[in-house]
Amino acid sequence: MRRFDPTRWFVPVVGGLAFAYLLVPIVYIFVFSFNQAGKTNLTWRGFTLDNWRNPCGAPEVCHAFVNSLQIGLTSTVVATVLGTLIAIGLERYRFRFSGSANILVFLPMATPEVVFGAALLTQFLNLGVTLGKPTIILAHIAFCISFVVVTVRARVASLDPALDEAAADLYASGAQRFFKVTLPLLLPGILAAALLSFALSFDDFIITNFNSGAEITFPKFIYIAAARGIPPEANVIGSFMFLLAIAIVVVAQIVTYRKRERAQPGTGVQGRVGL
Amino acid sequence: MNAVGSMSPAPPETGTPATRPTSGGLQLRGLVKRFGDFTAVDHVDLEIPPGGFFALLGPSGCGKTTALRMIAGLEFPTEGRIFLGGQDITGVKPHRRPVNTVFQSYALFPHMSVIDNVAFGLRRRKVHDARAKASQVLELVELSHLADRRPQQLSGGQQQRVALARAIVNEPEVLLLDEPLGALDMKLRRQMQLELSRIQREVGLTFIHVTHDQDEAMTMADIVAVMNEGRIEQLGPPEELYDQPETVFVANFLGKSNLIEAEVLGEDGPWLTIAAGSAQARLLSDRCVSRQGRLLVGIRPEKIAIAPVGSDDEGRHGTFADRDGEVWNTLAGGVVSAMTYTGVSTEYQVEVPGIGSVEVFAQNLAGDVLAIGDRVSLRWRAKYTFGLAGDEPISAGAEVEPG
Amino acid sequence: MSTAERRQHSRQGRLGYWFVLPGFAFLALFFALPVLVMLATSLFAPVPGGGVGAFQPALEFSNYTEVLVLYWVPLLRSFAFALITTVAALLIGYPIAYLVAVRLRGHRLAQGLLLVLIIAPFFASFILRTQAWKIILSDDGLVVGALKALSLMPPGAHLTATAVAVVAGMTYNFLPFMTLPIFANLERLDARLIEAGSDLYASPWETFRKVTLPLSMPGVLAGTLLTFIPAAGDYINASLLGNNRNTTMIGQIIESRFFQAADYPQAAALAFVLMVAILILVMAYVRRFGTKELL
Repeated sequence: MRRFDPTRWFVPVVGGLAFAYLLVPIVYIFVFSFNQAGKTNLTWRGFTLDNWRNPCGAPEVCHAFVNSLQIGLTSTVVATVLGTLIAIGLERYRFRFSGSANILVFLPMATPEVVFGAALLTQFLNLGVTLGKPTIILAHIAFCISFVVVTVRARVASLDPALDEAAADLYASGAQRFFKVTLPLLLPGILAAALLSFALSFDDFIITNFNSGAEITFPKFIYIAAARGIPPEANVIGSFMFLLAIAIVVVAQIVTYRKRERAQPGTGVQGRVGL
Repeated sequence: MNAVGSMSPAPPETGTPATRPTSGGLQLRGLVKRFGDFTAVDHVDLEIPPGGFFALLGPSGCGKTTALRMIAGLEFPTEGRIFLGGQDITGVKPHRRPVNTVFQSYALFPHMSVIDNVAFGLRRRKVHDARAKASQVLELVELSHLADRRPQQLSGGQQQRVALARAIVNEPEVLLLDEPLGALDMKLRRQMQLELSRIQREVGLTFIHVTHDQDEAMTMADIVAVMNEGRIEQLGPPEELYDQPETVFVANFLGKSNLIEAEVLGEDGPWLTIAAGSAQARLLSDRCVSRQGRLLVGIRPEKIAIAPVGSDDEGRHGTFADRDGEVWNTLAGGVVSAMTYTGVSTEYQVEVPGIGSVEVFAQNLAGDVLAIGDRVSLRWRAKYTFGLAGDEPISAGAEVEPG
Repeated sequence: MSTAERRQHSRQGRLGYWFVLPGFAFLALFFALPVLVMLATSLFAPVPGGGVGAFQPALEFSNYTEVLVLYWVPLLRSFAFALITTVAALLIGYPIAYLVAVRLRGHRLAQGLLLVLIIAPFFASFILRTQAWKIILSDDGLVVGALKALSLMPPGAHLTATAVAVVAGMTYNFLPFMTLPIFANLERLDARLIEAGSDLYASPWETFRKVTLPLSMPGVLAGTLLTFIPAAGDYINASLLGNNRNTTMIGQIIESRFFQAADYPQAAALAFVLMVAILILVMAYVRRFGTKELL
């Protein structure tokens, strides 16, 4: 009676293999962050905690890392603010030029980084701007905005406009409605957009490479170091950022889970009963 | 004391075409479903004969939808077995069961036209001429002209009929309807109730209808099972459930009941004599769950006649027989404390000393409506009285929110 | 409509412009304008007698014909690699998204953890991870050793410095861009539609093919675009995992025209060709498979 059902095992097995594929290099990076120093970090020389005790041991690595954090945080804040405003504006208001506005949001995402970086570089060169941290930040803001718009806009679209009207009905002014109703409801989407934006900025190499001049960032440091051997301290920083990202999201998950449980205890069960 | 229904009522005489084999119908045996430590369905035994219109009625959270989903195969029971046509289908996957569901949200495939939605099940079973058969069923639900539309382009009532067509086209042994009219407005709901009954008679399939709406269950179903907290409280034809409820929950959930605490005084032929406060009354012992001790005595509000003091009945207390031998119970000395005029009838709240508040629905036949503060006496035919177990909470089923 | 109401509406309209204005001004200055400047630069001509990197405004259309003649092979190769990468990422990414969004529906903690595992590699640096692959797949690494021991690989063969390594590296790097949009789409999928499919005699595989997959097409579309576009312009994987003979991609050439040759007009022309080619492909693709839900 019972026929062979491939979907049963196929999804978990393929999904599991895919996760392994995603994580193999991370495991490698993590393991080799404990490797004893040598000229290169290609072969295993023995276990040590020295790299974790002193992640700034290798020249430049911490300078590059701090630069990347500064650039990432600055461009994330600006891109998130600008992108969120665009998302609300496009979704909540009618425009005559909304068609071209959509294209202006979509085009940066449809432009490969190498083109984006090259275009900005030609502009900076033609204007005679000195390349450095400010040009990197401007470039990062420009390519992060669209991703913020798309992420936040989905959240705005799922908001009931009647909530805004209800707030207006209850004597809230425009600014009050924005800060007391719209913004708190959009917060999960905005946080997700900010996280995405930081990840894109922190990990960007191509656009940065075009517009950084002599300034160094963490990805650029590794790219340059790759030729002569990446120091294990870079593995420490990579592993640390990976673990930090997991910790942040796990804590956020637990907080929202707790909140939901407190608000409606036992929803897990009720929801599944589906009555 | 819960009456776990396991009676098997005779199939209805009308509208059961001979084309469908009457091979045993659907049986649930000792069905239990737990989610964690929450028991959604608690030892349900049920036998549903083929070809009828069966309703599972109960408030939100009573387990009726979970029971339905187990019949459909969308949930698997923790304990117990399900038989269909004599075959054990407990562990059979949903797509191998001759059972179809009309989902509460309709669950129409948004990427397919109406006709493709209706033909979906036929095509999966490689039925010949799927499109032609689907068209026929669309005709039955009067939607042929919308066959090529997408579900999103249809009104709620039309979507509902597509969902129905998509299920019945497969001629399942059992058709499950999960609150199918819940999303429709009142007027459309009435219309669809009639239409569902017509379609059920026409196709002769077994319909199991889950609803929280007692009117819906009563008007459409041949047999109603009232569920509460995972159990079946009572099972029977709608008139029987209404006329002779066996639990306080059923008495209160199906319509309204006046329930009065009383004590059995004695037995006299078919009658029990009871005392409630200072009053005495009679009820038939076979309409009573117990013949001694404490009882809850019930009477429906519309069965009570209300008359202003000063008419013939004044002074007559307790029980009396009229010229035709009809036995009446009376309560004297009541005062109208509240009233609601609804046009065809007036609903009175009457305070009776020693008894409490009694609700009375009086039809406005003559037009002389009483006023608050009027002194009245109440009477009703003793044979309409019913008796329930005295230890049940008196408001069970009265305050549950529907849905 | 009263005058008060009308005033309210018009004020809201103007308020809308204030919402979008700063962001669009930024995009105009640092995206649209640079693209136009690049377009202009792509027509520049060398300053007669000038040094390396000295150009002046002109209408030198031969820049385009020259780069196309010189670099059509890497250009086509970039699109071929990007296409294979996209298909591979779809085949791997869809099961991940399905596993997390559909199979684990209701298990919020497990869903959250697996989602982090998809996103978190972003933070462990793209280049660090690509470099890790290079070492893992290197000739004296574990994978090659094992394959050779099992005679699955001829003794002289390599995994690194091949086209396979470049495509595998890109598939790896762009997998989250494929997985996340499909996940977001499948997560919104009404589970009752899947139930309705199985109620109507569709086996799990048929339900997937007839219901789940067609309904998840907007997610697939977004994922394939977000994978194909960066893959076509990528040059990290090609330069770290490829060789310099038959894996060269167009991104590498744009980069070297800029930085090694300082030939800005030709580099700009190539970048512009890449941008237009991608836009044409994307538009054709969206027109063929697209829905309005894209943006």
